[in-house]
Amino acid sequence: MRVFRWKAIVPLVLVLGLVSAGWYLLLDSAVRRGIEVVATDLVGAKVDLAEADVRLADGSVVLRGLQVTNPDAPMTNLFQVDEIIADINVGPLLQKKIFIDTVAVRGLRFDTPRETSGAIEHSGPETGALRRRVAAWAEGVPVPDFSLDGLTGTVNVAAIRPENLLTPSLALGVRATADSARQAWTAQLAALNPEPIIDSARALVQRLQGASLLSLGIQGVVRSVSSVRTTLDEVSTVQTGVQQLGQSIGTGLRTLEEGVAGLAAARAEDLASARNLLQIPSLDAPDISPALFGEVALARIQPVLYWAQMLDRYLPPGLDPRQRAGPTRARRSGSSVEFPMERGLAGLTVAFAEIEMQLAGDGAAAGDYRVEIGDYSSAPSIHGRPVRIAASRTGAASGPDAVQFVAVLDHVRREIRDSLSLRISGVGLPSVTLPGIGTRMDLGQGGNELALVRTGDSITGSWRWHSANASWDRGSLGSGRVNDVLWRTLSALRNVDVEVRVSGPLAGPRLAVRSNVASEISRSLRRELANEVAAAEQRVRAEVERLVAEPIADATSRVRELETAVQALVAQHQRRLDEVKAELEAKLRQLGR
Amino acid sequence: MLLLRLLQKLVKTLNSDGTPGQVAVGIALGSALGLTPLVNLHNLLIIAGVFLLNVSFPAAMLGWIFFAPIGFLLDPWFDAIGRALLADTAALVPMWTTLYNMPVVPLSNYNNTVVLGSLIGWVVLVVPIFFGARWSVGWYRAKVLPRLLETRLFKVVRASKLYNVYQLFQTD
Repeated sequence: MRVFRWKAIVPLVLVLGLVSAGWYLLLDSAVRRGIEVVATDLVGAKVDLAEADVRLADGSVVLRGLQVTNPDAPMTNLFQVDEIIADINVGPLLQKKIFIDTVAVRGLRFDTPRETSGAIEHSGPETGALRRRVAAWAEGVPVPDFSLDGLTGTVNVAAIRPENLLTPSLALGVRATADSARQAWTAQLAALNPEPIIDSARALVQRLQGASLLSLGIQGVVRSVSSVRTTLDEVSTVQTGVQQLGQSIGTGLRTLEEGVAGLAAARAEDLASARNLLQIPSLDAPDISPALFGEVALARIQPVLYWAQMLDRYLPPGLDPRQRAGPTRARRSGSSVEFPMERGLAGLTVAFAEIEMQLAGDGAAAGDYRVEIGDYSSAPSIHGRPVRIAASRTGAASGPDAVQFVAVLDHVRREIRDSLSLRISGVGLPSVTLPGIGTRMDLGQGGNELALVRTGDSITGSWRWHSANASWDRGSLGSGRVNDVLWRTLSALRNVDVEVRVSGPLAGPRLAVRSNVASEISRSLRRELANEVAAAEQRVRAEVERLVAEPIADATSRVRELETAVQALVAQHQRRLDEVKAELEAKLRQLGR
Repeated sequence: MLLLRLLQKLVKTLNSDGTPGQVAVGIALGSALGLTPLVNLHNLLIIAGVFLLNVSFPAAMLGWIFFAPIGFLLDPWFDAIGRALLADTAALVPMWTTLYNMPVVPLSNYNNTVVLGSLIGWVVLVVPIFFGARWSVGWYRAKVLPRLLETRLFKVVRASKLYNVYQLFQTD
């Protein structure tokens, strides 16, 4: 019997030829579908690609009509691209790696409308997780309210209710803890009662008064020494117990003292919340800035943080194996593990990309831009060079322009080092309605500067908007003395400078907002309304004091009484035990002579 | 008609085409198509083997059909095996890394947990499948076939000539 069926070679070749022809004919749609599936999974919203034209022999790939849905607004595209032309290096495809020599992206536009919704029905657990984390961070950033109502109306201190204050409940807690500690310690001290052993030791010392070798005999002395030693041991045991209880009481008293100290902080917090409740505004500029521009700052900084963290996914540092979801198929997808190797090839490398970008709209920022990206690699540690991005403006719809954007994304080493700088001058800045005031601020043409540095998991950055020709609309700002002062201050302001600073961990940085608008408001209100503010604050402070003083005094006195009582008792026990121990030791020495 | 042809061929294979060993090798090779995700490089080799080796082609199809649902059922285990080998065994990482950076090998999708796990599963099961299939075919021909030959359905199937198309793949 023959092992090989040679006559089947021709049919096999025919079958393989058919498979190859099918693969070749379906390659375009397979690539198009593959890009749609992978990108949809990455973005968390539908990604559509109208056409893919793959020519392996020429090493060229052309993608047309790419639309990437904004996951937060499914009827809007995050961006849309007319055409992407890539020259690929065919050799690395044998290693399942994509090496793109050059990419040209034509007609990139942002925030374009969609004809159909791009929302997806079943998104994975990781889909949109980063966006949700950033949104959760933003929700957790406290943005204070700014309202001048408290200065324009009567301050109704009756609205401050004791049950809404923190201090009384905390004081009650401290008092209850002190009472239960007193009970527990009294019981423990009673259980350790040293009186019987002290009395017994004293009786022994008394009995051996004047005793000697002659009066007791050798055996009598031995028995007496043994009795004294036994009693000494018993005294020592009780002494140790009293010492340990003393230490435990000391720790408990310190905790109670911390509770008492915490009442002062709670009182300050209650004062601040009562001031908020009655809408007595803080007139400090550092408090006003976050109130006026906090929401705007958060809205602007969220995408920056989102993309700064998103970079980790596209530019992961290091050479550790990486897992990602396997391909979608009838069978289970599993996970695909990538094993990058030094001096190997990354899964995707783009040596150079040129993007022609359009910003739509009527603002001065609208126009054409050219973005150049160099040395992108999905495994930067292999590529060994940081990604460089530079952008410049090639055509403007209106207004003066000067755009400088430079970014260096260094993910080559484990510690990520990213830096980004954006300077735009002569662009239309946003209009903002100041919360709590209702006045609309139109910054007109101005400058916009963003600087961001990421080192490891820390981020430091600032985003500044400045304009020399701001205009104001009174909006919903009412009349009256306070509002008139405010309007005079704001309407006279032409130079506006707003700066948002972020610093700290990338996952949850601190946000600080500074603005000359807040400084001007603070200055003018202090000048014009100092007496009203002081009077209103005095009334609030007096009412809060009235409600919290008694509980604080009560809790403090309970703790002090407890301290005095138990510490005195412990000290007394220790002193008496020390005395009787000294007497026993003296008797022991006397018997030993 | 296609189903009838397939049925005819399968019946003929079980009844008389080739030795039980040739049928068993066909089933064992076909089981790879069923147990592992189909569109992968190793299955191209399996198909080439089924064509070129003097094994029963219909038996390979039978193995594929029979083991495909079993493959679906075993996927969670295959996934776990693949994950253990690819992700949880540090000692194997250098080998996987070398393979991942060689030409052609990455195209096999060996770095997918289900592909690797199912391939390992098939390698482990292929010998028992072979011996099990060989014994089963022998037992069938000796014990079941004589009774089947007397049934009406079997006579109808044998009467059809449409399976002549498959003559090229008959075992010698």
